Amino acid sequence: MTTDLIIEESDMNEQFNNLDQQCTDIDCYRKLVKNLLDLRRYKSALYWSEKVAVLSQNYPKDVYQMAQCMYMLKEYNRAGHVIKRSELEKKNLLCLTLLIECLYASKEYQEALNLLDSLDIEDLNTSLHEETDIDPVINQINDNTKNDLLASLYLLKAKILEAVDKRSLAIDCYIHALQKSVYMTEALDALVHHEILMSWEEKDLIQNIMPTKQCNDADLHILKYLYEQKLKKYYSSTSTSPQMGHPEKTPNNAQLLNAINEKIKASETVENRKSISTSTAVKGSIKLFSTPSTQTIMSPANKILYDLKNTSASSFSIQSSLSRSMLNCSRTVNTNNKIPSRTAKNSGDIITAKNALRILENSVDILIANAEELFYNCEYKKCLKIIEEILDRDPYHKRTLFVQIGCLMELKDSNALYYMAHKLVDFNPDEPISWYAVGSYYILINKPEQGRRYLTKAVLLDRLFGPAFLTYGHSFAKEKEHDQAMAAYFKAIQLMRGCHLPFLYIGVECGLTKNYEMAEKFFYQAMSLAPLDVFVLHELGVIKYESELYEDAEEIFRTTLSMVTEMCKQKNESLSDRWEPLLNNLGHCCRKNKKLTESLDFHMRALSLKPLNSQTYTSIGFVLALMGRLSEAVENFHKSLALKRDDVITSTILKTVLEDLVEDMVEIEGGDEKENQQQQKHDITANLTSSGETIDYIDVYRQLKFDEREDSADMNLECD
Amino acid sequence: MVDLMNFNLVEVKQDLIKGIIECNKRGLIHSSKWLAELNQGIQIVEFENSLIDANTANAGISHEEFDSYMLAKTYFDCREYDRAAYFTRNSISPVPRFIYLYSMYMAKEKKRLDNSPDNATLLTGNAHLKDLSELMSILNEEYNQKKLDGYGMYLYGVILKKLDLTQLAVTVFLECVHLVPTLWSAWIELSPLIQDTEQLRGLNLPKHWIKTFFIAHTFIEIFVNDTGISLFEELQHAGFEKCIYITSQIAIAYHNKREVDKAIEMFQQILSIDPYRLENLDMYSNLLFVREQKTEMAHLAHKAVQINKYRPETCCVIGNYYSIRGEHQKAILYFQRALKLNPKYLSAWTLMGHEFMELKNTNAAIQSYRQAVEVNRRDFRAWYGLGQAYEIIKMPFYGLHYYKIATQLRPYDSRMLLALGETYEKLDKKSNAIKCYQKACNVGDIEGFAMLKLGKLYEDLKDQENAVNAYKNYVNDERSNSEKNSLIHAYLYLATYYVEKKNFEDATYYAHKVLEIDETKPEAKSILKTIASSRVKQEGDDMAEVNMDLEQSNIVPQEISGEDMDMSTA
Repeated sequence: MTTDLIIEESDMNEQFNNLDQQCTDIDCYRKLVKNLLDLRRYKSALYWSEKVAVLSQNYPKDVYQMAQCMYMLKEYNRAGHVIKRSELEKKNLLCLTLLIECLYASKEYQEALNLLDSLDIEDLNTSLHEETDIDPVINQINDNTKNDLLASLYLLKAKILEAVDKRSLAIDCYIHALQKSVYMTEALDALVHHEILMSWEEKDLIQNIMPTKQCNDADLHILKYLYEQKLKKYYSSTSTSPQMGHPEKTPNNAQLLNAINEKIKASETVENRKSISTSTAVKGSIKLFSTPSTQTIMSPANKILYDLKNTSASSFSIQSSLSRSMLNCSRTVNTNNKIPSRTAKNSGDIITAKNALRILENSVDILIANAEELFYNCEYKKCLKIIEEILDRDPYHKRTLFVQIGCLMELKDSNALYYMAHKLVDFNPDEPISWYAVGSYYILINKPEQGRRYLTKAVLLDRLFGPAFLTYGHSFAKEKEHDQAMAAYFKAIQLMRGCHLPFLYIGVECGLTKNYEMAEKFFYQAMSLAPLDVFVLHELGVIKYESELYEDAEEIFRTTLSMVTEMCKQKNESLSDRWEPLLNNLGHCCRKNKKLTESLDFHMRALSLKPLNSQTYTSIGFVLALMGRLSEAVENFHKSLALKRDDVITSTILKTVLEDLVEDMVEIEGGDEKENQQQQKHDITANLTSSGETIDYIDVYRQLKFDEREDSADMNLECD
Repeated sequence: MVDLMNFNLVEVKQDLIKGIIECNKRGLIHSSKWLAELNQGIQIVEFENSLIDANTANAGISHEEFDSYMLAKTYFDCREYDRAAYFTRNSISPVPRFIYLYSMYMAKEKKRLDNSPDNATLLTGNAHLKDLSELMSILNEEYNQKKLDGYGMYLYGVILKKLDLTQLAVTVFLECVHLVPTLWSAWIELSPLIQDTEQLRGLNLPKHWIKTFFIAHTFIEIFVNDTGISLFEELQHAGFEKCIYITSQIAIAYHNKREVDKAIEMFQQILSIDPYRLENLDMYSNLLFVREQKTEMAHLAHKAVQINKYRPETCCVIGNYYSIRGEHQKAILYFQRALKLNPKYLSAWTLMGHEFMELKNTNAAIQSYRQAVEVNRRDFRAWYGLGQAYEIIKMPFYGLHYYKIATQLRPYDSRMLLALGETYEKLDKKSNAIKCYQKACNVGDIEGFAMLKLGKLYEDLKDQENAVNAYKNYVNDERSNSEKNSLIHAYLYLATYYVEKKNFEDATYYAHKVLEIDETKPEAKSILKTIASSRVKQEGDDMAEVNMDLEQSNIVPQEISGEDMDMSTA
């Protein structure tokens, strides 16, 4: 035994002696670490990287590698400590980024911010240059990668700022990030999907960040195409409409334009935003009549509106942000040279730009953009078809799942939603979307109490989760708790700066609480965000109608209708049945404005869009009665009552009409009857207008109904 | 009309056979049944089946879709409509495509029927809107893009009709029958949408032999019975004499014309030719009901049950039978069953309304009648029933409206006019009421009350001349003998009137008439006494006139007391 040991010892000694002569290459270990990292064997990688770092005496690159391994192992504090100890973060951008990332992951936002503030990132850039002289390894990082690095750092900063609720600064940083590297899609997503930017701001942004130096022409095309797809939203389809582009041509609209301008002057915010807007021709061209209102009531809602104006006015302007970041860029970025065109590469990877665009149609992002567009156009069935296709490929695609929730809500397919919500909660209980789905399901099956509980849970998981607040509001609105609904929508406004929907909903709620003036103001706000959104326009019309400005209402409804038909024409479709309320409302307006034939015509069209609607039959009957065609009127009232038996209004009018009809003898005899009838015609109109209360009641009712519909129609527009 | 009747029977037969094949391919069983019946009725010795193109059987089905078509068709035949629709969802060639659309429609309909509540009176109309909207939008789009074939048009029309968009439905059906004239279902669907003769004449119909059938059918549908009968009879002469459909249509027309015996005879004839036929048997039982032939009805009911218990016709026959036996609850049960089997079964709705009226369940009756007029606006009985029901629940304004519609539908039916007049009277519109009664008399009073009513009304209005005329007419009508009280009233009025006018001859005549009736002898005697005394007085002095007033005032209380006595004795 002992001899054996001795022999071994001597062997070892021999080996050591040999080692003296032999050399080992640290680079081999480095390669090993890299391989292990690629294989996701982080623990082993960490082990070896630590050895490398020790061997190379904390050579920066190796320290970085080690920290990276720790980061991968989710040991954020440890990784951060390694970097901090080596103090590399003050010299090396890569290390700084990693450290910030670690701090972000361990939620030490303030420390991260302090660190970022203490170092001038731009200075760090130059120091990196200096360092490259000493450090040949890091020298390999070329300028382009450096831009990417900076972009990613800005992105991180933005995220941290967002986490500490400094949203406007965060937006700034997101834009910086995009400016540094146009490929930093995360930043764009953050801007677009949180509805932070106004639509025109988004357009400006895309215009401005489109790089000329970072890539060649073909790629530029593709990039532009992809990003534009990202921005495709509900109102974009209208803005292309040529007719809408120049509505000022008609005298009516010119008048309106003046009215708007006055209106806008009154509202600081709107003006502010208008100055931002580059597409002034489109924006605001649509009729804002101002209601003659002299005194301002400081209701709670009013106050919020006021505050909102002040805050949003001071908060952010994309122009300034862009110019700031441009300034930065001009200082640092123009080191770039164009990337050589990629013809030298493997021919299999080369495709023409045109082909690429065509093939990219199949990419999930483009598909979902199309699906969203369908969703905003209320084509839920078609939308679901695309969604199915996407989910088949990528069953956990979050954005798609959002749209799917929306569609299912709209189609009231509670079973599918139930199943989906269950699966989501099973697979990722930490994602807000799962709980959002659950909450939506409960609201769909009319259990708002539970629904709200789950929505709250979703919000707890992600404080910036705007859609949850909207749905939250809807659930209150459904229960006619207008104030609470508004409160939820206000919260949504804060989160989704660039989205007009909360404004629209608040407006609707105001209208329901008979605060028409406020409602109007909110609709103008909504319009300033989405100038061509027909839904807003339609709601505005309803408010006008409510405040008995029938001429204005008719005008607005007509404009809406012409916009809608224009849109349909472009898409080569017939008018969809979701516009039935619009036609009916037009019918009501025309009736109020004594255009009975037209009114009848509109109601008839509404009926053909959506048959068997008792309200429409009642309206038709009413118009016919006013025209003196009593028997036809009675027939229509009967149809209405057959569909809805206990309708008080209809039966009241029916009774009146029937009583008047007594005089109207059947055409057994001719002659003297005619005179008689004329008399009656007079009678009945007098009679009906005297029963004006009922009439107004109908209208209110009708409109209520519409609002509900509208609500649900837009319910989940924000899902994505 | 003459050119309508020149048929090339061989051609007709070819059309029929082709039509049967096409309809069978698409699962349109009712059309093919009708066509086959017609086909059976035409016998041509020298007809060769080979004239039919052998390819018809597979035309319209592309080769690659044949398998899925076969599968879907079998599912369809097994009434598994959703499955059928699923397996044809991507089909392009016309027949599988139609199967796809049609089975989607059938699936929705089947589900709706299955889900409908057991109590048929609670059915509400708008449930199918939501179901059909999707299918409707598909069809609408294809229609606008002119991609629909004739059969698709038929389906589109059916849906439009369901959704109460009648105008559009008419145009679609017209286009449909131009494209596929042998699709009898389309004609049948079109027919109730035609309101009157003018509209019928204004239609642009395809030049096809089947058009004559449609016109005749529609004439009967809009109660232009005579024209319909003559058209059908001409058709019979033109080579369709063995077609049972024509005979049954003529029987229906006679039924509408209230020529009960003739209609019964025709139905018996039909039953002898085709003993297992159930179509229109309910109408036959209605006729028997009118004739109160209980045994016949019992026999018919048993027979119908034997043939098929679950046919709406059978249920109606049984319902009628229970109704004549006074078991209204049971009758309602069977009508409800009929409606469960076919919610659009018109006569069941109306009959059920009648039964509810018998049970004094006015609200349910109104519901039933309403459904009936929903199904077919031309069902005057339902309108009339509605009027009655609303009168009972003291809503005369409504009642009036319904009576009016009934009158418009049957301008020559005195019952409607009478009811209308009564309502006017109730609403204190006497002049209108008078017009109605007069018209009722003019068009031929069926029950013989119009004159009495007219007389009473004039009496109320103190228009003695007219009242007397009316009463005279009334008492001259031998039918009035059945109603003793009104008769006495009329006689008394006349007698008093003539006393007043000092026309003692006539007064005595009418007083004697009153005398003939036992219950009123005292009154008659008192009048006769008055006459006698008046005569004396008239001969005596001018003083009589002063007394006349007294006399008259005496008579009136007497009359009343006399009636009171009547009541007590009875």
